[in-house]
Amino acid sequence: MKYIPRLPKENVNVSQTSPLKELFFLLAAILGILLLIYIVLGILVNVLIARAPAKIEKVLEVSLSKPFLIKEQTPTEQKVQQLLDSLVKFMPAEEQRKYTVHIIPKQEANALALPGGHIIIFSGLLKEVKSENELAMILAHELGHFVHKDHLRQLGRNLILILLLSIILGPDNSIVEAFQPMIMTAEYKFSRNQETRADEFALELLYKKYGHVGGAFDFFQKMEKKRNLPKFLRYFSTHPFPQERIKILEEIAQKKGYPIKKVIPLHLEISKAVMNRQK
Amino acid sequence: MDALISLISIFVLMLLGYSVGSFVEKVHYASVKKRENQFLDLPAITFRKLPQDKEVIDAQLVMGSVVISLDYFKRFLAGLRHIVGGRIKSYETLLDRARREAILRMKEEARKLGADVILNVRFETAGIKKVKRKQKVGCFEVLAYGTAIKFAK
Repeated sequence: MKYIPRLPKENVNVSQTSPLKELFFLLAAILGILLLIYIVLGILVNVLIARAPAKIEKVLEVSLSKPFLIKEQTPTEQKVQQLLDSLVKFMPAEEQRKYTVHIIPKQEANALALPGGHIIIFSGLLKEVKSENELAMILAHELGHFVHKDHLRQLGRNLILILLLSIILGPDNSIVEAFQPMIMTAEYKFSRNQETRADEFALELLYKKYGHVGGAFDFFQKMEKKRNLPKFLRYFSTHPFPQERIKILEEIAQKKGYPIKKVIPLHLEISKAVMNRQK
Repeated sequence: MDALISLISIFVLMLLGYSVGSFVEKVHYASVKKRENQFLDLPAITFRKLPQDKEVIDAQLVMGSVVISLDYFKRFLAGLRHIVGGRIKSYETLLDRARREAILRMKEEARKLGADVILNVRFETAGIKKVKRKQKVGCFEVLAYGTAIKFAK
């Protein structure tokens, strides 16, 4: 036998499919599965949250609201707390329970609802607020989240999804990292509907307390002036855009015949105490 | 905002991995094919026995080793494959290039020794993984080795 040196004509060890095509199909399949899981989880969480015993909220309160539990309320917080308490009186009887205000020094104009009836207000928000009605609207909005159990819903979905992903893929998988932003984006979208519902609730509560809805739109109008983000970023925003919000709220106010009257200016003490705290 | 930034960075890394990765691959394949033709007269075979009719005057171990790393795009594709299973096609070209390059390096060494043939050629493949917190750097080593034989003229 004679040895004739030659190279193989074709390479059997390398697949001839395009990697871009593979990427497309794999991503489509996996995102589809994730979406399905997400929808199923959403339904599951909604069912579970509606039946969740108070004990669950207690457990979540200890683990999530802990940093705010020990602190004594500052004069500012007491002032806001008084306003909150007066609002709670106008809530449906079965929703009336202890809600606590906490102010944290942060530039951002934002407020959060945490398990256990804790309302966290960023000091940046208090700086913007010029009237009692305006602040009441913000507080009532957060109360709306509690009434709709949004604070639990949000946590429930996030917790289950992250748990599920890390079980399937392992804790330090680069894919988890890659998918996390996408999941969070979907989560934001989901929360915008909740925000609108909370707005509706807040408007009604404001009307019950003051007999009119003056000052309800003030805060959003300020936000609208401040915001000049490009349009494509809107998808990533947690809250509905102020302009859309004002429009929705005005429509509701018109439909229900809520009048708009003069607002009560906010007592100076609050603003002063906020400044002190920031120092 | 954070979500957007990480989405963009993933996209940029993927694009970079894909464009640079495929360019480098193309250049490397061209070079491999060219050198394979140049070394065609130096056979590297898996026979273990020496030919009976020729007198061996020199025999020496020759090795060629290549270490290759994954790019972001290939790793992402493989990561998706880890979920659904199946062939990890994105690694195939990488390993194919490494094996052929290893043989070429082995042949280069043998040529320097003036060998006529390389017998009993074997391959070893090893994964070298450096795990630093969450950042994984995946790479492989492919080692080709054999016995370079020189016959009396």
